[in-house]
Amino acid sequence: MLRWSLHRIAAGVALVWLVATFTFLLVSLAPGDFATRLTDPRIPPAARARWRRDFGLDRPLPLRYASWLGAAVTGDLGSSWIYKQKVVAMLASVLPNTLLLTSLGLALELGGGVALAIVQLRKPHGTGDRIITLATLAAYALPAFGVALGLIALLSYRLHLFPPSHMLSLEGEMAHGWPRLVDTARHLVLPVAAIGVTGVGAVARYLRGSLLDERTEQYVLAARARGCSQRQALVRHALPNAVLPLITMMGMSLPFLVSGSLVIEVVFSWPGMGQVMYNAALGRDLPLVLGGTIVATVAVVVGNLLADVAYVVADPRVRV
Amino acid sequence: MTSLPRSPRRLRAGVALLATLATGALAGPWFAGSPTAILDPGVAGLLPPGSEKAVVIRRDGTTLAGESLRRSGPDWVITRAGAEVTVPGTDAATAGVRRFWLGTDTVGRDVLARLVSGARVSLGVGALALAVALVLGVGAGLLAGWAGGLVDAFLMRLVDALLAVPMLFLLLFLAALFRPSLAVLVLFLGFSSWMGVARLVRGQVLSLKERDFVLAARALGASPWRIAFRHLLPNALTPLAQDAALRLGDLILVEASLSFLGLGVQPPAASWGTMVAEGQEVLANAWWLTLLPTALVAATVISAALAADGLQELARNET
Repeated sequence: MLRWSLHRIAAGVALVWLVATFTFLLVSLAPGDFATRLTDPRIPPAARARWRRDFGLDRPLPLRYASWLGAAVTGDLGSSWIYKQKVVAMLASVLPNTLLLTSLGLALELGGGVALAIVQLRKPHGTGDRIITLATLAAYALPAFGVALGLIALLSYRLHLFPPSHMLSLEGEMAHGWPRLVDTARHLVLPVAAIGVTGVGAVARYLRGSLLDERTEQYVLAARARGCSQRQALVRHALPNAVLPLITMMGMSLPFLVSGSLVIEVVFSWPGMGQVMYNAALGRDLPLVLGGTIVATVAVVVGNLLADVAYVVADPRVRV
Repeated sequence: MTSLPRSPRRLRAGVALLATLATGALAGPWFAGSPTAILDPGVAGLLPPGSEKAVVIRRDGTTLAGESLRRSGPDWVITRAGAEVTVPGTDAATAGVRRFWLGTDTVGRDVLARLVSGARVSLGVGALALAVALVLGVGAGLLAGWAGGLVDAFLMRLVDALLAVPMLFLLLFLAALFRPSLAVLVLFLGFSSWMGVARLVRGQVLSLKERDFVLAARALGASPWRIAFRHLLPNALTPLAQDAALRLGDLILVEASLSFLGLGVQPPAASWGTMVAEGQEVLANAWWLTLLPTALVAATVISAALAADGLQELARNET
């Protein structure tokens, strides 16, 4: 177990290092650095040159890389060009919001997918199954921004049920405790629903397929012969086996979840990582974009590790 | 190979739908007007689908739109917001009543024409990016599977690593750095998507290369190229096609997301993603600007997924 964990963690660290190096090289090779951002024409060239020297921008690339990497390892990813704040502090302040949004979205996606697949298998190839199959196919195919805008148009603009954007309303911002929590929850409904709808299709489609195959396996038939109801055999016996590959699939689809929540955050003006990254990309705030890409990669690596741990916990046959 | 099994219904439905969309995109210029012509936004802006307006296009390219149109001698008289405007016959390039089947956008551009030209961009970028991903993936997969050893280990570790990168973040990053042209966008998308293909092809090569027919080909002195393209790839065609269909859907979704965020296809070119972004500002009162391009993206992805399902069924029947 220990060796396996160390091996996996080392691989994760290596991946983060590779992505960080790759993105750093791209930023270094891209035209324009911090000094060219000082667009004021009254700044004399000598001052620009001094600025470059003070910030070490005139040193050769390997040296700059070494000092950047040294700082990055100690948790210093530089300062944002636009906001003049530490990148790590900025990202750390919005990361919880993103985690809240994505974890709820993921839970809805998984719960909804499992529930739909079980309902479908009550009567495979029946009317209900066919309708849900079509619906999940559509959910899988709809772009995240389309779902988000549809929900806003219908539930917010037309029916005035939920707020269309941001994390807190003005009153919520002022309030404390319970009212503030309720306000946040109301703002969470639409973005979480959007993530859930976009993701539920893939889960339900996958589970239906594997449960359909699992249903005719001998152990399920044996359970039926021992007097389990169809439903019990499905939920107690077939589902745990079908969930195993699902864990792997969720681990592998983490990059898509992280990416998908970016679009959702932008549409709903949700103050998270994706929103910050997006504004940084539009404003060419390179240190911030660089930092965001690295943090997103770390998130995916950690998520994959968690998926592996979940796999070991869920499957008693796996001994590492 | 003498008689192909009857293709599954889903495969035929998916391919037919994709072909219809592609035909519409290619034939667009002949049935839909100009996607960039701006028609008098005061009167012809934000028309709901099915509206009719009288339109006069002057020789200098400016346009007038109004409620009705009549001739007076050589001149055209157009009723615009209650007032009559006379356009001398020598000034007018074309005049007539036009129906906007799918409405117009905020500045009075024909939505049908824009959807059709957007289809060319969206489907074209998706298809070309898929081609890039297939070339890279098939190449890497063949190399890894056939060469084995260190080459295989290196390529597969690279694939594992790249699969764990949140690609939209990386694409956003690249888009921020380079403000991509269409060609560069195609390359970015293709390079972000070849890993799955490589993994698939490698697996197929590993299982096929021990078979007798490959051994026979080698014994006959066939070159590795010949074995790869005459013996290995044709046998891996069905799973490869299934993967390609799903991948096409994914790539079209990613392109739509990037363009929606304003970092993919740049104006004046429009893809379905940029159209939704433009319609977002008037979401509350002009549903057709967001709904129609979204529906087209979904239709494309659905038809690709149907084709993939059908191909999987075909593969199951083959074995």
